[in-house]
Amino acid sequence: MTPNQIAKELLESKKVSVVVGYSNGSISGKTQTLIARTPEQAAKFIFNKYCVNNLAIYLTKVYKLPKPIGLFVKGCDAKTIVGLIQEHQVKREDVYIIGLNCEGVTESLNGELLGKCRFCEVHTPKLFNVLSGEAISEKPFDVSEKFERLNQIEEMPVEQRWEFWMKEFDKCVRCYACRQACPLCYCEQCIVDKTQPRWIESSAHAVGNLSWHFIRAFHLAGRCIGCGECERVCHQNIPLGLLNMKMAKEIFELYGYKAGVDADAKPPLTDYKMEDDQHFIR
Amino acid sequence: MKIYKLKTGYAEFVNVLLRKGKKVVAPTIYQNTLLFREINSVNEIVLPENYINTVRSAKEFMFPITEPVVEFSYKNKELQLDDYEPEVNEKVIIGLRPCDAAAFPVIDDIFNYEYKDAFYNKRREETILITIACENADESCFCTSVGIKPDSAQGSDILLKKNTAGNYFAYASSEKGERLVNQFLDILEEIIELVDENPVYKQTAEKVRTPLELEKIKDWLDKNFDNPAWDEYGARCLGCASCAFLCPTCHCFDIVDEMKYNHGLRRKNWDACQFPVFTLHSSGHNPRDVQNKRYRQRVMHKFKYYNDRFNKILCTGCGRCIRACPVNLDIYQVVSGITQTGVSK
Repeated sequence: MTPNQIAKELLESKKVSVVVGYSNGSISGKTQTLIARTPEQAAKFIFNKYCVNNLAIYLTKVYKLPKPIGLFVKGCDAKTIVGLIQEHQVKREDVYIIGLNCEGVTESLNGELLGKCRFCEVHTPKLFNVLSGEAISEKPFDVSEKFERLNQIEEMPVEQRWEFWMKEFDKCVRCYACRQACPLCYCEQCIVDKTQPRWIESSAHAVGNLSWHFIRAFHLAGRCIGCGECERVCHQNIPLGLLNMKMAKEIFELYGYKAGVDADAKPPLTDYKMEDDQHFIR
Repeated sequence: MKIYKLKTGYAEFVNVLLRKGKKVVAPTIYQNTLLFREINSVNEIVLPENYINTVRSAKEFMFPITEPVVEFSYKNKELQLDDYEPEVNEKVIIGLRPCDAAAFPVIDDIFNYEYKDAFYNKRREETILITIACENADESCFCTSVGIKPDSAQGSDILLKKNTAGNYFAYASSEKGERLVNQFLDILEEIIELVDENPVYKQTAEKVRTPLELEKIKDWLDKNFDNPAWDEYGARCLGCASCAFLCPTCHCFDIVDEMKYNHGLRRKNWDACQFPVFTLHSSGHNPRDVQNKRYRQRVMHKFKYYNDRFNKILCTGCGRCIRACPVNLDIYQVVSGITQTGVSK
């Protein structure tokens, strides 16, 4: 069944209150979020290689939609839902996952796939209620490939790496689009918005910007599933995904843990085992 | 408006500005991003035919992303306040588009309403805007819908346009522009009138989205503070404020005090109405507690409130908010849609 048909049936049978999916965008290379409340509206849903957004954001952010929510979910987006279930932000029964097979997405008119798609190992979501189409074969997880982009940065001498990041952060205007687009950045009060005491300076100067990106990366350690939304929405083209990738790599090397794989697993930073690596505790 | 023929090409004109010791700000690629920055060599600039518009508008040169406004310190337990004098030098911004230049006369009104913002005004006086007319547009451009054209001179000190043969002409559209022109008469030649008007600007105007019915929009907004349409938009909006931060006319700011030991600075930072903390009262009450109210504020401010107060639209159709929106919540679609159906799409 096409995702439209699935959405229509779900709304007709009232199994869900709304379906969140994609519809045609107003400009080339973009798709628009569509929140359908009636079966008729479901006809407008589409799914193609421009369906970049991680719609799991609508489970945690901003506007509370009536539950249960039908959601268009790609493989990478499903990892987010796993994370949200692990962290008790979403109940499994409140989300009806319309699984979508995805061979990579793009925002570029020349069709070049996003970086994350080149090393994707979840073309078919691992978690769904209904899958549109037949599951497609998967590429195995390859650590060396996965972190290739990061290795280029890590190979830089420390001064050069510092200069690279300071130049990148220099562009930051502190719009917090990275936070707002992140489905796992769901704190009701963000640390950067706290004023008494003020932990992180909100001004877009070197100290403020460094502190902000630093703390966000730490807060996502072992949690970020690498959907890449922060980097996609950053109009200043700051390679934010690299920061999260660095944390993911550390967590993988220390604990052999990959975020967004197992909803029953305990995230390593909330868990303790006797055999945990302790070399960094002095 | 006096018209001068440039005896040089665009790049050479920039070069002459630099050689004569002007501080020049122009679109340049910085860390993979097209931004206005001060340049030291003409090799750093991106030529106008290679961009539609910069990622950020030119507003940050009058209204910086962050700037100190007051200096304070504690001496012997006494608070001492000192005015902070910004270092402002004369500079030339070249290569901005008519939509960016047109934003300044719009926000001049708010920065001079009741309180006159000395910081903004000082920079405004010291900055010369050399605008370049648009020979191309993309799907997000809608300047003609809000009263601007690809070759409008509003807000510019000098507007550069090409004739059909590809020669540049400078239209000195302000006193400041006239003064700059007088310093460069060796490369400029005054002409009476441009005879071969280049059709490319008309063609560009035809590429941008068709006009909005501004009066109808205003009328709808006047009557629909409460309307289910706002819930639909609010439900889609992520509240990321990319629109406000990239907008050449959005001008809201936050005031923060930053202190180290006994010395500190009070800073004025860009802020946006899309954030929940923007309207959070110290009592804990928040009049714009949900995103639909915040999204409504954005549309109302642009097309109604600013119009009520200053008789101007707080939008120049640059299209940045459309290009940057992560969920493609397109303000043009929204305001053209509400007048037709109450809810667009």
